[in-house]
Amino acid sequence: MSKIVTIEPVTRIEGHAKISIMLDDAGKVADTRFHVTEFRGFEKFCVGRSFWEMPGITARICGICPVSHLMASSKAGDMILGVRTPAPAVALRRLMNYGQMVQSHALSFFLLSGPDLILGMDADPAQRNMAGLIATNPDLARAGIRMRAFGQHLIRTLGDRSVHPSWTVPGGVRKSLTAEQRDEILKQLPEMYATVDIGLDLMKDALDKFSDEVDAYGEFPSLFMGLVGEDGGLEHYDGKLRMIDSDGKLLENSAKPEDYATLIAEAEQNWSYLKFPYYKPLGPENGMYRVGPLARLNVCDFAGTPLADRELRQFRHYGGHGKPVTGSFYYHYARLIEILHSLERIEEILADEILLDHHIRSKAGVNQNIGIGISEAPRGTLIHHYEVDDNGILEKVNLIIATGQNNLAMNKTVKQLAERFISGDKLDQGLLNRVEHGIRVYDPCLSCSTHEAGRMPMQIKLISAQGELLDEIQRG
Amino acid sequence: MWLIIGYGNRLRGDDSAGPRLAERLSDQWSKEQISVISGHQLTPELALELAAPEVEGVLFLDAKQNQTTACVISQLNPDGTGSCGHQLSPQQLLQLARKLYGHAVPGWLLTIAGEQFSFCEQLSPACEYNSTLAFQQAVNFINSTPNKLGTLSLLSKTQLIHRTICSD
Repeated sequence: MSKIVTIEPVTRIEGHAKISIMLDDAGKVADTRFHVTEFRGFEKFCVGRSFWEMPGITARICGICPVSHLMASSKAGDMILGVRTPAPAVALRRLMNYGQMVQSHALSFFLLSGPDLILGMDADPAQRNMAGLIATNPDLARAGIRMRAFGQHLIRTLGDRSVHPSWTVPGGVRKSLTAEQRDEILKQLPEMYATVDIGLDLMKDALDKFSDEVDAYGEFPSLFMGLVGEDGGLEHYDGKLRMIDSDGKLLENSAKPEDYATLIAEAEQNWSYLKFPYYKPLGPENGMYRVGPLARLNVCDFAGTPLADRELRQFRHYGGHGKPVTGSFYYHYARLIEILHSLERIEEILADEILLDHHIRSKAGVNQNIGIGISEAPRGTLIHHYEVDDNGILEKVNLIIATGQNNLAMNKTVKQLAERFISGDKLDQGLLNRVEHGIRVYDPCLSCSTHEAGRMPMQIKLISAQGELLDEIQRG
Repeated sequence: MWLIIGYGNRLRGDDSAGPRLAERLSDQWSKEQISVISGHQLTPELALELAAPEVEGVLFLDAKQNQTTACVISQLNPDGTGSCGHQLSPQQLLQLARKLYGHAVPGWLLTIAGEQFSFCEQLSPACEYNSTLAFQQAVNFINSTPNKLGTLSLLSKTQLIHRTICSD
């Protein structure tokens, strides 16, 4: 008799999801589904509003990565205005975006994944959380909190508040940085570099500790997509879209962000509100791609900052012979390298006198009816596409969010883990912990990807094909 | 010094009651007496704010569905259990401050009854009214609680554990 195992929801991710594992008559995994079941519908209710409001509105999609939406939305607005954003404003936006990268990655690595990496996948779920982390390694928890606070402080310094700042606007930014504020951020950097070192040590220990199962967490061929700079370097704010396959072959090398629709199409399934984007030329069956830290490090030619480049060379050994790193467990490692890179870029930008220039905003009216803004959010490529009338009133909104783009890969990861660790028709905590971690490596932000809100304790159901409830476990 | 933290989503109608109330309270006392934070949700780095040595008490402000009284104050016990995600509970924050920074600051949660949590940028009339009551009660609560919270003597433990401060 076929059975369905349902895990609902996955904890320590932003948002709310459940997982179903379908077994066939022989008790083998037939299929898996990572469901996202709530819907917020920003794309619909923003129609009829002014594009000027969009940075403020879309930033509220999520309390964790509002800055990413600010960036993409403001860049879409820049395009509608048809103006050149002043260089100091671009530098300031980049600065905030790096602050966002640091705070989000720090939360993901040190505080959300830290318990798994330190306590292990077989640890009691009651201990495999922040309380357990504090009990086992309080220094790491403190360091993670300090790093997160650093990123939030940088964002707050620029935007007056760390969550939902309304500082970047179409055409530029509202306010510059003072020399005192700059110095205050600079003096915190040495501590942050030391924290990344702690994280890198932990990561390398984890790669040894979990060497038997690292390849179960999403190790498979896929495409990878991300922005790269004009020189092919690691890029988070602007540039061109690059897509590679799992052998490292370039499929797209210099796609303009505004041409994204020629690269990406979105499929839908009736069991999830999360869309299923794929690389259009290869179709939904073969077009699965990954975005985010792992993808960015795979697609770029180099990081462009010395410490990150040194670490990137080590990271690339895990791909071997010039090929990309294809295991999703390495998202953790990639996050740390991106924190390092972001700190180096922050230091670089803060040393640039351009920051003290007061020309920070170009003003204009509606000069184009289409605006497309792309930036790299912590979780991957973020696309805002607006169409407005001559008065700037939105007629169409399309948001393609990083977590959505990893949807196919997350589903495949769950399937891989289930195939490896499920035994019979009993719900085993070890399996559930690993499936949770398999999702968590992507650090999914379901609030963004479905624009939903809410979370609840974990619930796991084992249901027969006839709908009979065979087993159930609840957490929290 | 009191730390007041109001949290909620400003695009979710009555969910914004917490941050709105925090902002109204911010000019009721001097900066030496209170520090006010209003935000979307409780995040781990707020533990650093709780752990500041000058903070002697924390009052969290949040909206609540299905609450029959206009506003309720409850004393909180630090608690590190439960899942930790991108957002924490007030009890978890108190626990972080205590366990990581050795600062056992007492905390209370003032919940304001709300009824409209869908997409809008205004409070419902009922929540507006409840917030007015909550404002006055928050002022009274802070004014009646000695600065050195560890030496509280005027209020019995029972009163502090769960004190309904006004009813609708």
